Amino acid sequence: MRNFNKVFYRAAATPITSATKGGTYPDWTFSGWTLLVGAVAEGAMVGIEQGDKGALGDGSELTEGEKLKLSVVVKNFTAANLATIRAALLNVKCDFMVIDSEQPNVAYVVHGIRAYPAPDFTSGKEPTITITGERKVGSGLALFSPVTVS
Amino acid sequence: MTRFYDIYIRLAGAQITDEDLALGNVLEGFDKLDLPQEGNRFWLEAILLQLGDGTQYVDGEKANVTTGTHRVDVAEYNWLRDTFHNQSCDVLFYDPADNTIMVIVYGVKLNVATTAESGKSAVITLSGSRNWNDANVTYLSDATMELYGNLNGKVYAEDGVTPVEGVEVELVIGGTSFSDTTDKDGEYIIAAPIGEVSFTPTKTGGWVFPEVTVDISKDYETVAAPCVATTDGE
Repeated sequence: MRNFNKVFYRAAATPITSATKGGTYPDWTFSGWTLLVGAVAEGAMVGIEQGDKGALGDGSELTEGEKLKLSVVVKNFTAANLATIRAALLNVKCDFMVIDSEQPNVAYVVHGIRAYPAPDFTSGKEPTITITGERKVGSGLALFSPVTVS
Repeated sequence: MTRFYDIYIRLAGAQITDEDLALGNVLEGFDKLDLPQEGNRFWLEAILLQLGDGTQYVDGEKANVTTGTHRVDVAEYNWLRDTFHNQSCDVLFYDPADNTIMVIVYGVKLNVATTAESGKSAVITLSGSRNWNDANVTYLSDATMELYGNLNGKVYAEDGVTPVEGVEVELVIGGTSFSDTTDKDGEYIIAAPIGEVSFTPTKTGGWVFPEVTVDISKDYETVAAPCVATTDGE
């Protein structure tokens, strides 16, 4: 089990299969990637799910398309943090990497998502910025994967 | 940190920036909702456009506001309906216990409704939404808010019970005036620099009020002692 407490992003680029960390525990850094400001709430998620399906003549089902997904909730942010996040992510095609600082040997990356940062201020709760996005892709492409971190 | 917001509403006006806090009372013209209901909320929604590359583009946004008050007397309901129903309004969310962020949503047409259900507290709800762009919401910064606090107080006639509307309350701090005029409940609300300040409310027509001294704090809403007229006017 991993608890993703760090989320990094960069402008969409060539998909990666490995990464090299810098910095020191627990404040790891990755060259070319920007750390998402604020505190990442539990439940940060990147992943891939089945998209379009096609029935085959043998009765089976072919996955014709897939969907990349991203969902991150940020808490403990300032007005300046909110402005930074929206300027960096709103309608910008980005790659996102999530990592557990306590288990930094593997990170999980989705590539080429336009994320939407939505602020929510509800009385009785902590203010949040929910960052979500998805991308439809053809089946079998390597646009989401765990990456080895050294 | 969990926030518990006070809600301030005014008819739509000029937008407020961090710099405006130093120029005068940014809360002038706002009315603070009494007995705010639980769950006051402001949030944004995306209007999404599916692109040919498989991604989603935010083609627009919608700002949503929902709030309400448990002060459900005939006078308050009529005043809220007459003043804000179907009017373009600005709604301000502010937590006086932690003034590190202030959210102001501009130009939302509010629907003012009420429900009275057996076994539950009656509530007047105010809600609305508008398609949003960058210009329709501002967030005042924590660095700025560190220097300011909210002062709240009431002015009464000699009897100590009857609120006096139309009383000018002016704080002069560092040569800058921060003022408000009392509303139908005799209430004034002023966002001003933190620190001790003295002021004497005024109203034409022969009214005389005593001097009031308060120490405005940034961490909590400062509530001044009730100001009771020494001489009632016209």
